[in-house]
Amino acid sequence: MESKTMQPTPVQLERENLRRVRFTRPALWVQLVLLACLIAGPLVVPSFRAMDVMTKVMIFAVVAASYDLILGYTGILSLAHVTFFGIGAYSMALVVFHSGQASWYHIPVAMALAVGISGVLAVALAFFSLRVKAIFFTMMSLALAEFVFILGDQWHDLTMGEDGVSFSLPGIFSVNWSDGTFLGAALNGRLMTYYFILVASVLLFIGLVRFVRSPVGRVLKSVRDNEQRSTALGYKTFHYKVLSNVFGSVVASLAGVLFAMWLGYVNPTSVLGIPVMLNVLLMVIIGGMGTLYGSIMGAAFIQVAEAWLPDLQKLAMLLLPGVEVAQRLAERWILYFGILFILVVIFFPKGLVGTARDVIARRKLRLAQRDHQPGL
Amino acid sequence: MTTQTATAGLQEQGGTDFKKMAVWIASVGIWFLPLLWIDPTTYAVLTVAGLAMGMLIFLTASGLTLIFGLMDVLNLAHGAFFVWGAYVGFSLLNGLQQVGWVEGASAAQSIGSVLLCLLAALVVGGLMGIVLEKMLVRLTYGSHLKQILITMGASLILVEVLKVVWSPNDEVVIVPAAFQGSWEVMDVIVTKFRVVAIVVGLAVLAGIQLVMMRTKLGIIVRAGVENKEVVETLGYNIRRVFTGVFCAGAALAAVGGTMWSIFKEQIHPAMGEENLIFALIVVIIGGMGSVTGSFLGAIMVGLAFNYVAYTLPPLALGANIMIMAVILLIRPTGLMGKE
Amino acid sequence: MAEPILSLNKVHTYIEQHHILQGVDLNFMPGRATVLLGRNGAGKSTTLRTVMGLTPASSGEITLKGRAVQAMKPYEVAKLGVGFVPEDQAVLYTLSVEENFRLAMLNENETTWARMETIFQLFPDMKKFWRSKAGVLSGGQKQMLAIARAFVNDHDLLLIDEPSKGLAPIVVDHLIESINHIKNHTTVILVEQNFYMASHIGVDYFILDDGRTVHNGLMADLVHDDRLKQKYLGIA
Repeated sequence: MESKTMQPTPVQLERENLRRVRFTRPALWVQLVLLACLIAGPLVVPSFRAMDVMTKVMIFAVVAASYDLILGYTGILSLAHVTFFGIGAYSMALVVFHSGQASWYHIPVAMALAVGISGVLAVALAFFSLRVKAIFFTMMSLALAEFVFILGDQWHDLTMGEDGVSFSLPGIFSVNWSDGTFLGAALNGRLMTYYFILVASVLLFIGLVRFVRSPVGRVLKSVRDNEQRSTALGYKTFHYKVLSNVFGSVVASLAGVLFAMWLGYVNPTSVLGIPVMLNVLLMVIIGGMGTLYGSIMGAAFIQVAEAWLPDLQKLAMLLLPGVEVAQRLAERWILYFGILFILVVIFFPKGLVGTARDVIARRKLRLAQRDHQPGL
Repeated sequence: MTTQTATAGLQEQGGTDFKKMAVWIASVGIWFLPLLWIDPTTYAVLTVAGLAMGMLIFLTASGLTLIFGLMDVLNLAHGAFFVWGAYVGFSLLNGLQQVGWVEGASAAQSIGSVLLCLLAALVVGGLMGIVLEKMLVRLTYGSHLKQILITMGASLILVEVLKVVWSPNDEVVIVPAAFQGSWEVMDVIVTKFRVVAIVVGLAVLAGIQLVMMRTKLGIIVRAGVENKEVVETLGYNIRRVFTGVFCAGAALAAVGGTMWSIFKEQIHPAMGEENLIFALIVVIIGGMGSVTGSFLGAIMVGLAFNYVAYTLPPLALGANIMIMAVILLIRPTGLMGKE
Repeated sequence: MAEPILSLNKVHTYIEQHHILQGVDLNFMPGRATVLLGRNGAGKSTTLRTVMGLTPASSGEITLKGRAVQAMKPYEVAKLGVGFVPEDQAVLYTLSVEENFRLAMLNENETTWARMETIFQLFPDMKKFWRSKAGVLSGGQKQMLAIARAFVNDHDLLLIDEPSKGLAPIVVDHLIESINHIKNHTTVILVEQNFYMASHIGVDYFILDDGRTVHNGLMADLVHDDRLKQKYLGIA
């Protein structure tokens, strides 16, 4: 009896290919090494500052990656993304603050609250993005981000305004908890919080990667590349855009919850407003739009710079005493930030990872051409 | 849905479009609503304040909308021109103070001081505009994302340099004597400089309309907003027109800044960004590329802000965002934007 | 043999990744109206746009009145004395008819305004709608405006791209009349799908196919050549 075997589709073939080479791809090893560094970090390097930088890199990598999902993969330029981050942070802070005593269930409650509010807001925003032209939407999102910042700044009753909200974490995350040492490092609240954030960030990041590699993600890429074509193929592009918007925004808000947990203090300037948004945007641009992993590099670059630039600045001021203009110039590190921003946009529009992938792809193409066309 | 072709313009020639009329009537009538809960005298004061504020926002918004309409460029560095204009005016007033043209000055000297400030702002803003356009903005034609990124970066740089040249702190601005204080008109206290702001705003509007409607340059710009290619094939170097419009827009924003500095009697480095948000809202409401639209939008925003700020201060900016959202829902291209 | 007023030599043009003009050779004689014929997508409009510099040539030479213009920007080409009437949206709807003309005038002097008088005689509607916004004109009137506007300057060369598109036959007749008058004053290069119009205006013709010149000659001969017409223009 003849059995009818179906020809595998091109997508299935590619999946097979990828599965086969999964453990030999160099990128995977880089990722594992990175993960190992993050896990071992606080145990090897006892400096609080280093742990602080690593945590911030992890959290902002997630925020930037979630932004990359919306900007790089779906092609929507929204400047309101930081709002979701802030909502997450404030959810965590206010839940604990208003109940007086920190308790276990506050964390999941804060997360649920963050997800809920962000989800609703993201849907509303996505609805608007359909209704108006892209450029209007960008400007609107800019105004919205500023508005929420001002809200956070002025609505004292709810958010304590510009003074911010200070709170402590429950149980083993609390700064007061400690229990001897573990593998050479002090086993305290900070360490536990660090590992919790590590696990959560990795999960969120993997979630983003899976989302992008899923069938939904492929549709998103087609929407970004040629929306008319996607619609003609029968995809309700609007639904997919809303989905990616909501997913990205929710992930960002969860990252905000983690951020609040780490700092134990939340105020408008640290989690809301355009300067933070610009930071995130720069991370995505430096890393490379549409690469997700680029966000990790971008976040690392920016956070490391922010941590050590003030020191560099002090150094510069020591080196140039007495020259007031030089002093003033050294103080203004944001100035160099702005110059860096512009230089990256002009010369590295694809970002670090993006340019790297381009270079690798071109080399592969050249090699393939050489193999297939000898003598040419 | 009716097909919107260019002949939609025909409807303006007396065609009955009830929906449009209704929207217009509502938009005008709504401004008398606050009379329900605010007493007439306060309402009058707020209205004057609102109109003045609107005029000053219009100065920034007019440049922004022209730059977008003609060049399809989203210039987020516009706020930097605004704040530079303000600081230049501030320094100039301090200088004029030394020669007695500010405090205790006569009416002529006061007017002279203000005019000099406007002129200085115009020149500084214009120069900054030309430099920025030739160096950076040119690189971004065609990509809104690049424009946003580069102009934001430029804005950061310009504001930081401002902090180096002056200082990162707030400064107090001295108002020329003749414009200090207020008049009392039928129980209503009318701040003098607010009237000046309204006058300047109207003058600028009149000036822009004059240039746009009656000069060849205006024809070229309006034509370019509609179709750059045709204008180029008619023998005009559209790039130079771009630089010129960008320069003019920057100059206007700087003038707005210096006016605002006297209006508020204080300046701080972040005022450019704050003003930019308002200007953006106004441009969206009014329609990209329409100067009259920006004018109307600016008045709406100014009035709304003042009425709401009086009743519920923290929601003042929110009220404007609501207006913007509502208008975008009804007419996504803004009040007078092209379809 | 007189010098051609405009000639294209092995001109290639790309629009994004599409190779539209694949080596076009053309010669246009002064004072003789020439028509560019060919099927849809043959590259006729692109040829005009390349001459104007709107879609610059990637290789090849374009010589206008003895000067090499292939690298010039559109406004530079226009200033050399070339009028262009594009396929769509030639007219600026938000401007009045008067403003459309004023925009086109390189010099607003007596000669130009004297020419306006001639234009008013050829196209009386222009006078009638002088102050109205160009957007309210009918399709045919818009086309008249576009052509009249190109004629207001004393150009040596007039490039006209598919003026009859979407117009009623009686309007087309009026257009033919007007262009025939104009061609006495300036050299006209016409791109047209409408063979009736083309044959009533053109003295010389070139046929383009797949971005190359495939045939040329006198219009008078082409009118009788059914085989050529069928092969390259798809008309019986």
